[in-house]
Amino acid sequence: MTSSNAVISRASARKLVVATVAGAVLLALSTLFAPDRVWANLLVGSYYLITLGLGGVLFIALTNVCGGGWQAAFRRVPEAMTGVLPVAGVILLATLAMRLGEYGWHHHGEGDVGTFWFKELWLDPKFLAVRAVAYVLLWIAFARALVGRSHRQDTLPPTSNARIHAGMSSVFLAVFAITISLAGADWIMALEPMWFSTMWGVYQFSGLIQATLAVMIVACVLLRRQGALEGVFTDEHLHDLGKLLLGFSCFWMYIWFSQYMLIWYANLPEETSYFISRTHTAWAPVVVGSIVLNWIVPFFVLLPRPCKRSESIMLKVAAVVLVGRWVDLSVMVFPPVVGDLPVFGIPELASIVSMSGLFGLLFAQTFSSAAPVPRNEPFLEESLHYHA
Amino acid sequence: MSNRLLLATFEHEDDLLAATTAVRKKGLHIVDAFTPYAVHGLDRAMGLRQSRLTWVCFICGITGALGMLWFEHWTASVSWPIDVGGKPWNSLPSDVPVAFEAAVLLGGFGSVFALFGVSRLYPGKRAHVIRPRITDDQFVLVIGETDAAFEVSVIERLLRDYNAVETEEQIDEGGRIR
Amino acid sequence: MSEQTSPLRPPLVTGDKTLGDVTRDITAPMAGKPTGLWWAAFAISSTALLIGVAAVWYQIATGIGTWGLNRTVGWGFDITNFVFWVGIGHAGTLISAVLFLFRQKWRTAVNRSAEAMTLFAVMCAGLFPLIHMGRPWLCYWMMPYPNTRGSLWVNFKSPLLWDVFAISTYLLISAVFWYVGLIPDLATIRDRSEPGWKRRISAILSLGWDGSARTWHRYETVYLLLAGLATPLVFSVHTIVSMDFATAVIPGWHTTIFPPYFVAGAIFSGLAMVLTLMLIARKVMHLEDYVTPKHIERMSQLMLSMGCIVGLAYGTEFFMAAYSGNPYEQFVFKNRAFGPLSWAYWTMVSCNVLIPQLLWFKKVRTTLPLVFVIAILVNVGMWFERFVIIVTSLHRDFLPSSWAHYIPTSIEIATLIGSFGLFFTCFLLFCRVAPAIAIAEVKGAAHLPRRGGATAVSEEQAA
Repeated sequence: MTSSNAVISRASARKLVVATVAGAVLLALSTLFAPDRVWANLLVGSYYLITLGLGGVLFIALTNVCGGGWQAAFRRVPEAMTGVLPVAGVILLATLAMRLGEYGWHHHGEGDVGTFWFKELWLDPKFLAVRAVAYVLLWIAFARALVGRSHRQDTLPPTSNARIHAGMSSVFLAVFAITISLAGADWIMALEPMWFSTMWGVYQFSGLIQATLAVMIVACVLLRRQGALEGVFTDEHLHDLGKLLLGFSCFWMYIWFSQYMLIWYANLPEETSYFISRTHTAWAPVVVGSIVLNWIVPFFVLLPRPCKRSESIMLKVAAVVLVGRWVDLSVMVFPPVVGDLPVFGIPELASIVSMSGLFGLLFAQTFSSAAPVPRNEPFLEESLHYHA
Repeated sequence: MSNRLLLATFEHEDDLLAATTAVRKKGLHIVDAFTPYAVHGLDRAMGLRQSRLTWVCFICGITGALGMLWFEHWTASVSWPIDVGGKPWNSLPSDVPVAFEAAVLLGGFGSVFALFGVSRLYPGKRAHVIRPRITDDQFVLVIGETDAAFEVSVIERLLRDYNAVETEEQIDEGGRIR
Repeated sequence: MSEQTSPLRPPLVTGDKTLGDVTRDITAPMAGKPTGLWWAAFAISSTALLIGVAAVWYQIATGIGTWGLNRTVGWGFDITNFVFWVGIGHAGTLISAVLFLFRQKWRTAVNRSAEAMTLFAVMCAGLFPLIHMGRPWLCYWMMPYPNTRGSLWVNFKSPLLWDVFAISTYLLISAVFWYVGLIPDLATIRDRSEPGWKRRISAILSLGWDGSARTWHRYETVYLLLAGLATPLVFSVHTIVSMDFATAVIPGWHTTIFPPYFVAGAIFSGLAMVLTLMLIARKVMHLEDYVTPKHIERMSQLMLSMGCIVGLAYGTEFFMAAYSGNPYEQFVFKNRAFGPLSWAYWTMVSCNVLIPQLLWFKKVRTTLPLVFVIAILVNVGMWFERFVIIVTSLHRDFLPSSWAHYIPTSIEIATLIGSFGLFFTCFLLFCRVAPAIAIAEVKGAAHLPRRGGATAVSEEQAA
């Protein structure tokens, strides 16, 4: 990391380190009085981080496959997001390891497992652990391959290797679709081992992409203010990211509503358990809050065109969506782990501060490791001069 | 009111765009342009402001959604409440799909009819085709007289620089060209 | 102010065309006499349509007891065909609206015919529930209007009523979208044709369009709005269709992934139908320079990705059935794969998931006859998907004593043939009376190079 490339000053880097360490220490101390909450926070936080890293890879792969040119100018931002993958992966795996024994399915009693043979097999702690390691390694491998190619292109003559990117990107998309569905089921859905929903994987994807876009908006705007993307990240890019955030906020709502409505309508006891512990307990206002933050606010604010082109409004909406993502994940994880009463206090705050600091540090470090604007990029001119 | 107009014909969109930008920079009044297709960036070059039709669509859509939600509530829990499958009379989740369709229907039709209204498009209207090839492969820029700056020969020379294939002076009677 | 386009992008229109050439090439098939090939196709499809008309006449006169349905299998061919045709319609909206929002310029080659296809497919789809009512002349009872039955309102809690609203909204908005897109092209036809009925009709329908930039500016806004509305609409329509099944408690029907899974499946089948039609139309109507192999490749890639999503949904259903531990769920999926209708299931899996994997290879995507075959197989596979979902879930449910089999009667098959007849007859007529490619949109998207000695003037020079 050379100082000329660094996007944050030494002082702010030190602040981020302090925040990360202080949060982590506070979280560790909280295990003394609330071990369940600490574990739930670790799961929410590390899953949040790893899905942001994964979202970065997803955005790169999607735009590669679609032959997108508009994002070329700020491509280094999603690439830098992938920098959190290894660290987030380690935290996530450590978190899972802490409670692997009591994770998921227990078949109490001896004898015939009957129709539950598959659950018995699938939620076996060893198998669960092996799978978790496999998903994380696969994601890191693809992230490295795709980002590495992009970095290497900086030094190569501007030939068309866009096609090679597209090939590997489409393979990643296939792998992503399968692994995110399974990972979401393994790590979160299995917290309530008797409950199941085929929509779960899509639901995980919808939240992931929404938060990824919000982080990209925040990062791009801040980097433009800081200077690294000045004159590179245009209002047109902001506008398009705003449209995508609007669209995927609606998509999240669509998926959320479809899952809720079908379970509400059919009213089968094995399915309603999930919503009874969330909409018929003190969690209900939090569920409503997640809908307000993830859909109502972005939808109504981002509809008018001037809002999508305003830096300050976009920053605020993206921040709301990021808070919404945290609330959404908490609603998934906390009820089965912590209980029917929503809680917010020192462990939650410590985890949020620590994870945000960690993300900032890793992002800044990865972003500084390459030129802020891709060189020899065949789509760069197109990206700098287009109208949304 | 009669106005002097200058019609300049072009054969490529880039010429039209560059000429429009230049004419506007000179402070001349651009009455309109006529093109066979939506030329990207022409609205900016002409300085047209953002259309307010989006608001028509938004208001129609919201009206559709809220109106239908109210209607569903009224029929199912006020006018004739019937127990269906043990669901509460007023069940919001099952009211959403139809309310959504009503929003789309009203929003779509509202904005299309608003377009027809403000652009004065209606069946049986006689089209005033300014040049026969305007719906095929030619572009026409119409510059209007506002003050003494409207010096035809000077503007013509300017337009020739942008490959105008033909320029013609016209008197607009009765404001056929808005 | 013109935009930059990377030199890596292939041209949208090949063959070194001018704007005038575009107009002439696209309107040419409408001006001349129909070819022998057109007449042959028209004869076949209108015969199929006549068979359908006869079958519908007979079953309405006699009653729907003429179908092979029984007490256990209450939905069979009718709803399969309904879902199939609604699905076919979805690609039109996808291509015209979703790809428009994503600035995929290659869509201009196919969007007009895809939109027309949507209209005709939704018309075909609407037929089946209408006939299934038994007394279709009372179909207006589905609308909530004040009536003398005490003002008995329709049941807004029923997904079948949601369907009524979804399908009719979809038909209306698609028609408006299609017509709004046609207006500038109708003006082009008006100014190109000799005085006579053709000119008079196009003059009326083009609403006095004069190509004014101010109108274009508003028009573009409305087009964008319609695209923005049509995108969630297309999602909602097949979502609601899926809820016809998913709100029930029948294993194999009730599963939460149905909404996005049905939407993906619908787009998948629609793309296959667009490919089928466009591969024929580009040859028959000599539009090879507008619907280029590049366009076909793009659509093949889209079809492949949709096929993979559908495959993922199949996998998810099986996985969750096993994971759930619910014996009824598990039985339904075992029965699908190995029961008496397993042949239908494996037809579906091979046509929808396995065979489209060939499209990963560029060589396959650029071999047009192969793409054509794959597209047809996908159509077959998607029809079977609906058949499998509907019939296998019903024919063996909770109570083994009421298990039954379902065999379609000749009347049902004739009705299906008739719906294909209606679809193709409408499409062939459309190719004759309206430009099959959106003229104004192709011109706008292609950015054709200038011709002759004129040189470009840069903006700097102007300033």
